[in-house]
Amino acid sequence: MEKLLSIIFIYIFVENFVLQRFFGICPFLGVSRKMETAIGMSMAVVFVMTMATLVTWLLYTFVLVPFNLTYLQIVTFILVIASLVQLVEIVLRKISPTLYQGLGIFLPLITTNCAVMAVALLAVRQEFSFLESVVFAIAASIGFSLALIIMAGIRERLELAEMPDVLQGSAVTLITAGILSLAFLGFKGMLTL
Amino acid sequence: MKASSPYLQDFTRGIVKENPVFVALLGMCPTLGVTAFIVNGVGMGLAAAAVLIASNLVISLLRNYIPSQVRIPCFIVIIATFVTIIEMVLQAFQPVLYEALGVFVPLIVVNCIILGRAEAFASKRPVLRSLLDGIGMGIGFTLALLILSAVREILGHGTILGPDPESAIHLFGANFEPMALFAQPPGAFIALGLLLAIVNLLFKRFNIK
Amino acid sequence: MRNIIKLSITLAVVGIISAALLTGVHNVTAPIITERQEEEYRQALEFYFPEVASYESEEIGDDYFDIIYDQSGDMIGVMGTIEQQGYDGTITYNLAMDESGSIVGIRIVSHSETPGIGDVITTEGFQEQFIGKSYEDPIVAGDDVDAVTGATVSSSAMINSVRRVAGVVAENYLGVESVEIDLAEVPDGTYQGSAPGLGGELFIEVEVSGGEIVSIEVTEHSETPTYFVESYPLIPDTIIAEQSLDIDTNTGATVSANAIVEAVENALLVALGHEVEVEEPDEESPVEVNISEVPDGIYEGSAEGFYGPIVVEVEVSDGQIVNISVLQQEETPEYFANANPAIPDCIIEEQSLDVDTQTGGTFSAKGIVQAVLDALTGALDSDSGGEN
Repeated sequence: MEKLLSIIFIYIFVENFVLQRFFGICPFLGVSRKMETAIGMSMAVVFVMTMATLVTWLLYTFVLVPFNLTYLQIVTFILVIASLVQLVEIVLRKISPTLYQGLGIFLPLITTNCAVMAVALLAVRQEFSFLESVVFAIAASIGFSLALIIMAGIRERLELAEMPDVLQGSAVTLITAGILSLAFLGFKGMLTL
Repeated sequence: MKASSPYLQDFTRGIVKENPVFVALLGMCPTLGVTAFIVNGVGMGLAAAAVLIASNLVISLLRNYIPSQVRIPCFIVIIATFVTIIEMVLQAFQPVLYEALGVFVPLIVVNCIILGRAEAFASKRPVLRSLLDGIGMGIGFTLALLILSAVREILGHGTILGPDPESAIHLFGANFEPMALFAQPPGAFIALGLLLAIVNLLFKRFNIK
Repeated sequence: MRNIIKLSITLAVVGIISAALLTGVHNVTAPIITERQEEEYRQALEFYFPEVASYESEEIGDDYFDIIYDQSGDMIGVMGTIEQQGYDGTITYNLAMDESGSIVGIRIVSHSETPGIGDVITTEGFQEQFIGKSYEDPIVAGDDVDAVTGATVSSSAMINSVRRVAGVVAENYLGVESVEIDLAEVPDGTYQGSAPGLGGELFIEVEVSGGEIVSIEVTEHSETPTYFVESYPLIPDTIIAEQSLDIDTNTGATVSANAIVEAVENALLVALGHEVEVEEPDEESPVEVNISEVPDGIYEGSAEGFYGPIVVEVEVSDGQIVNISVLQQEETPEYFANANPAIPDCIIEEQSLDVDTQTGGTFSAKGIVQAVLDALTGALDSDSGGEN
């Protein structure tokens, strides 16, 4: 229990996936312009990350390791993630068209979100148990969402700010992310696994 | 430029005008994640470039045999195969670099530059042009990582060619206190942000569009 | 339908070719990877033990140890591969000790301490201070090795880990514990021994008569009283009943219990003529000065506080301390407020320097007491010298 709680805290704050570990930077920069899209993306990521880790962990532990095929890890993991994203898209369209309308456009983007792949790889590399892996995935995706949503809030205001031409757009977004990252650096060392 | 051949354009495009990092803002995760030292940054750049060139070549070769409905899964498998090969080769022959890059080596597979070039360029163009495009983009990516990691290592550690103490060259002598910020995550964001601003300025000044 | 079959076949073919290719590359690189890792490991061993001929690996708890032999099959040292929690993640390092138990090298294999701060543990300056230390040395921060200011967590973690591992190596490979105590050989008498407890050094007195331990008395300790009752007198009684030091110390106060056992062991080792480092009781200088002998006058004295010197002025009149004022200090205001004026008041009231310094500012309090002592002894010295 203690370990699970540590994992949750560490991967939301201390080792925040976006701001401290640099996973999922592309969507972080790409869809943080509006709060609405940021929230949509966050929900999609939480869902896909958790599902992907669940499936890849089982696959790794019960197929790749027993058959000595761990060197196929990258190929299988990326295929699982890609097909999972497809599957979620199809199922969502059938079951809940409203939710699909909200999340649908973000799903294809998630395949190349390296945070999803990173969480699946790290769960295996850190030798987490099944439950720990799932909790890890949830915590990491919440950390991702937190960073994304904070950033969206800042950028909505930043739109109205006056600044030199050359800083506009990505440059100022990155510098803002740096300051955010500096704030999260305060959590460093608070807790380790 | 006067009537330059499409081949030359394919090659140079990725280096400056459509630089994957500074202009297209792709492949940001490794760009920020492994650039604390020049050796790691360039190592990652070359590894990703190798995958990019190989996958561009193979995808271009197979472009007429892969049905368009399943092209994305096929591309992903091809890219993942090359990434795995690179991973094994690094582990066997460059173990120090392999350890330093860590999880970012397998993550080359989700580097948007590679799938992006496969989908947008290699799957529609002949082999030679795809190859040149791959090489150009690879050089552009490596160059961007070199610049960012040079800024971060010189400011953050005061060295070049670190972290191995045997090869590290200290630039400023004993009285230099490094700006540790640049060696840490916030410094990566800030340094890249400032570099982007400089690139924007230069592009504007020299009218590159 | 034909289309779906065609798609599936394409995918399958791509997948099979990919898997086959990877299997091929894997078969080529896997042996190289293992060989290289072994080679690197051997190089690390050879760096510290150039005459290494063979080695054998063993796991104790979470640590790995390689016992290293030379050509003739003699053990020439031990290298441990240790994982230690640092400030930010795991520090993996090698600790090499020669057969006499001295540390010959430390190498950080991997770590994720903060660049520019915690990564000081990888510097030569930090690692050098361990070289030549043995399991007999304290290896305590601030004693014989230094923690690094600003990177206390990382450096203390390393220091504590090195101390622990040195002990493990000594115990398991260097036969240190093999000093057997044969009670029958201990001459009759009363022996003193000491060992570190939780609150500080713990002192015992053990009486041996006719080859048997007849009594064990704890003469001084600073353990937490509520815990200490758990192991005293239970532990001495058990030792006497079993006439052995190999007893279960798993009480509610294991540290105190172990300290008692160790102190008894030390006392008996001294009795048998072994060399053991024994602490003298009451290391703090005795706080004694006969105030009535101090001539009237105003005296100045100083002593170290927590951050710097504390200077006091003491006024003595008719053999009594009538006033103490602090002239200069650099202590933290909040803490210092707990010690001043409480401590001076207390000294004046009791006309003694033997006051309780356990305030919220113990260092400052002790500093004031020492400064007053300094002033008074100074007064007495100059008096006997006939200058005043």
